[in-house]
Amino acid sequence: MNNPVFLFGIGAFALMMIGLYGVLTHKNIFRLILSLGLMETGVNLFIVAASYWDGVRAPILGKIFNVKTADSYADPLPQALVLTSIVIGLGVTALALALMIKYREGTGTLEMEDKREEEVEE
Amino acid sequence: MNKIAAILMIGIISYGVYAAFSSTQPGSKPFKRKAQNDVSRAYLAKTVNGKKHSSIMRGMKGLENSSSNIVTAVVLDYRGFDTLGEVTVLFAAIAGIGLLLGGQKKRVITPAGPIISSLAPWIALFILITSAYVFLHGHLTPGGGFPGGAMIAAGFLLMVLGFRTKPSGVFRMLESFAGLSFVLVGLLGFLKKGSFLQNFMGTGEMGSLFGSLFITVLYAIIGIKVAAELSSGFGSFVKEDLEEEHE
Amino acid sequence: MSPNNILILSVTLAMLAGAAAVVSIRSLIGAAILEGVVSLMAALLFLQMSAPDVAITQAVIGAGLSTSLFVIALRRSNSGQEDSDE
Repeated sequence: MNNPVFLFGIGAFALMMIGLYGVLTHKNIFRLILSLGLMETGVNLFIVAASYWDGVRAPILGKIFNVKTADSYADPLPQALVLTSIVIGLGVTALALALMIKYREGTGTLEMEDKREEEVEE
Repeated sequence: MNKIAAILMIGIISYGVYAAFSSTQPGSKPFKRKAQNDVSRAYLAKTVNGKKHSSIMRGMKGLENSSSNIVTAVVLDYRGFDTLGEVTVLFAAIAGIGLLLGGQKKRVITPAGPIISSLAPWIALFILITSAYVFLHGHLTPGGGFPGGAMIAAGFLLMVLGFRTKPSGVFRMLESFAGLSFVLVGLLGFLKKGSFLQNFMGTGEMGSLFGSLFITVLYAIIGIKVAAELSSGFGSFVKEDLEEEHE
Repeated sequence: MSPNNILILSVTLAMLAGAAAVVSIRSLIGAAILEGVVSLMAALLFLQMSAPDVAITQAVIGAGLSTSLFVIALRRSNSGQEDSDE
């Protein structure tokens, strides 16, 4: 376990699973959005961790870059994908929060409940 | 009951992922490879079009792409079309927010205290300077148009909190203008070089500030677009609070 | 364990503890703030994975903008009163 890549991968996966637990157990819409955000962060970490190797350098060519030592640089492609994914995630989260505000205005609550079930119980 | 079912499901998923990752099948070795695949290696060595360089150093000219930051090179040059799609997704999300939250009822809010209202302009000024630095140096240092634009939006949010300035229609105009200019730059590349979003401004010296003009222009456009989009989106979130005070 | 690994381990544990607090804490606004803490720890992890571009973006957007967005949306939808799970 000297290689921190396993640490990164396990941490990212655990974050994803905590987010999934939050999505499965909560009925409050705000908490659902927060849990989805956790899952998204976990997935982003996981994608970058999958391309990481111990001791790689950041993909910025400062000094001399030799083609033979290309393996000492981190893989730039997953990083580029995750960079755009984070920005899209913010837009999607904002849209979900706008929907939450409309839901609150319509129903007066943030809890998701099945109204038909309550009527049957009454 | 709910929680037990959730934990059970998480356990099953975790076991599935563990089994998949510890599989000994050929070709299924994530986290265990050191050699990079050919596409990423070509991006790093700037040899996608087949011009071989044995080594690349600072100050070199005539490279396929003159950006020191390879992530920026991938985002804007090699995969610029994906970035156009991503910006479109962001635009759609913000347009949805404007649709949902436009024209709401009014509500009382508490005004900002003296600390926020006296310090907000100074902090916003420094945020603006930092963000301009971040997206102008996108090809040299980490950062670029996306975080730079988000920083400007954060400064705008601070100004809204401090002064209750009303978000105006200027942001929508700026956003549409920036989106159109991204497509126009792409079309210019198509007209001059033959493919959409191709670099038509040439490549300069690697490592200098205006060495890769194409990426600087595109990142400035993206920075303005992201800043305007996020500002107008956040403006719709706080908009209804503002209308009360003006009456 | 090298010192670097200990740093990574502690940051990861802080991130996971914050995430566990987000799904279990009663106060909604506290959960929103803790989400920002989780994002900041994730940004530190991105930096450790030599992805500085992603780290900057995650710090600005995840820890800065997204947290303020959560708080603004919560205040607007709640109009002051506390609203918690269960």
